[in-house]
Amino acid sequence: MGEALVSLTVDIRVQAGGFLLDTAFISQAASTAILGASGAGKSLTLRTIAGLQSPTSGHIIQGKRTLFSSEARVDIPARRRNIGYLFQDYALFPHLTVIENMAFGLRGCPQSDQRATMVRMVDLLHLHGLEGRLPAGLSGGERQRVALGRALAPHPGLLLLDEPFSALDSPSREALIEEFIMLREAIDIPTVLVTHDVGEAYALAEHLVVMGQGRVLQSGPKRKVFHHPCSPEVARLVGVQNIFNQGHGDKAVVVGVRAGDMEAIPCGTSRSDSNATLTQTVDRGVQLLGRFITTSGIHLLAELDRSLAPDLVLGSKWWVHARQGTSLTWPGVEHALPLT
Amino acid sequence: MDWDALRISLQVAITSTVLATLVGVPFAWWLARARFRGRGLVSALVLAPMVLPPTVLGYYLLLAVGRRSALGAFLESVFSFSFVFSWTGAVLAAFVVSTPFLVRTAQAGFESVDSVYEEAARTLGRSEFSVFLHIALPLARRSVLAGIALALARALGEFGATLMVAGNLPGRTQTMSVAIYDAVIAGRTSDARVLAITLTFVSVGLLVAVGAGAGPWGKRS
Repeated sequence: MGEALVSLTVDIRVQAGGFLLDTAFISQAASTAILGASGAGKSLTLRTIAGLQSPTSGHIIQGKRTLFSSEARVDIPARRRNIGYLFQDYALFPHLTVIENMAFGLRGCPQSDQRATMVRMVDLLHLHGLEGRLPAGLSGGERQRVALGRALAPHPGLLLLDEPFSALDSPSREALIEEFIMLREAIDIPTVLVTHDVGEAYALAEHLVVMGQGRVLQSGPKRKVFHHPCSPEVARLVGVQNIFNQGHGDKAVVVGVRAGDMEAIPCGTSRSDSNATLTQTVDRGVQLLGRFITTSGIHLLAELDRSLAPDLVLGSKWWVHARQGTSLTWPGVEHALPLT
Repeated sequence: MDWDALRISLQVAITSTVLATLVGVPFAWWLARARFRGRGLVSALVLAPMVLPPTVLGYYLLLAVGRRSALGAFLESVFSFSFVFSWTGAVLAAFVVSTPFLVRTAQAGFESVDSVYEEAARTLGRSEFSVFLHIALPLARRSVLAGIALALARALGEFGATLMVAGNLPGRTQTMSVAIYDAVIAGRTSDARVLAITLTFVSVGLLVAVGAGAGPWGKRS
């Protein structure tokens, strides 16, 4: 990304049906991700930034521009916000061709400019030969590229992406994320991404906003949120697999450890220093994970050394512990956390 | 048997349907998308002409625009214009009776189109008029055309309210439907037969023509 200094301030309340959204964050980064489970209010937040839904109160400021302010009675309509929006299912106009879709936001521009922009978009998004097709005749990845082209053609000041990769299956998804990262470097437009996928958020954003139940749970630079989640809830959302209670009374804490930070050493059945039993193995391609149950009844997920693969026996005894300095702790007691 | 009745019928039905389309289609879109208190009441009021007997509607129209009404007296004195006993009265009657069919059908069509397309068009800088014309209308095209066809058919067959407001003046306000009634009452059975068959062909022909205008688009809308 270029050095364009961008800032986005969102501090709003939205009453939508029975749902109350009360969200506030500031991002100075060129790329922001809003991470949360479904129903957290992520998409609603994005809609208010785009002007598709008016907040009940609060303000939204992008750079020096006030997009919404209940105090100043400002509510710029969506069509004047100059914000690109990539919808979850792309929302390509089914009755218009690829080119007509992409040129839709260029109405009022001189014909020659429109043509030049279209040539650029077709090149940038590798849409050669598809110009005259209708959306129904495109693959998922092609649809996404056309939708991106349509959003980018008017050169928006901000690009919003609502779960852009969730409709795609895994292999094409990783390729498209790579492609999108390269594309973003080429276009130099700040982005706000909504996702429930930690990997996507990590790959695509510098600033991370974690949401739950209509509120912001934590907002900050990606690394900070990932390595220092402020609560067990945020830790779970940023992919900390092992979260459990430790200690009693005043010393009670909640401990969180990533599976990759757990060390698991197999012990002979006669060894007395084992503290856990292997109950299941999960092969995630890049990671080989083992599920364990400790002698004190805690379920743990630990990354296993690939070289151990031939010797994995369910029910075997292991010594499992967190590597020095990797465990996260929060005061208080958390009850009955399920393993993710 | 003269062809004045056919000419008047077509003139009245087409004028009424053009007006119903211009007013009813945007109104149907608004009704499909608007969210406000009393939306149910507005919808019910729009449908009222569908459930009221046409003679009752004609009676209310006379109350509203007749020579003794405030509006009727005003139009008469200022413009020397009156709906009563004129072909414009027949247009008014046909408009009131047929527009609900158009609104109802078009509204259902607009409601069946995901509003995300309209939102996308707004984020791309388009005005509400452009969103309506370039997105909502083409996507609901089939339902809108069906609504127009229904309104046209209803206007062409309108009898009760027309008779109440415009009367039965051959060559001036006598439409096909009224002429058929007139012919039957007067015992001119062969005239009635020719008129009835003609009206049947004209109505069905117009519907087929409108239906052919609905292309592959909006098949699912």
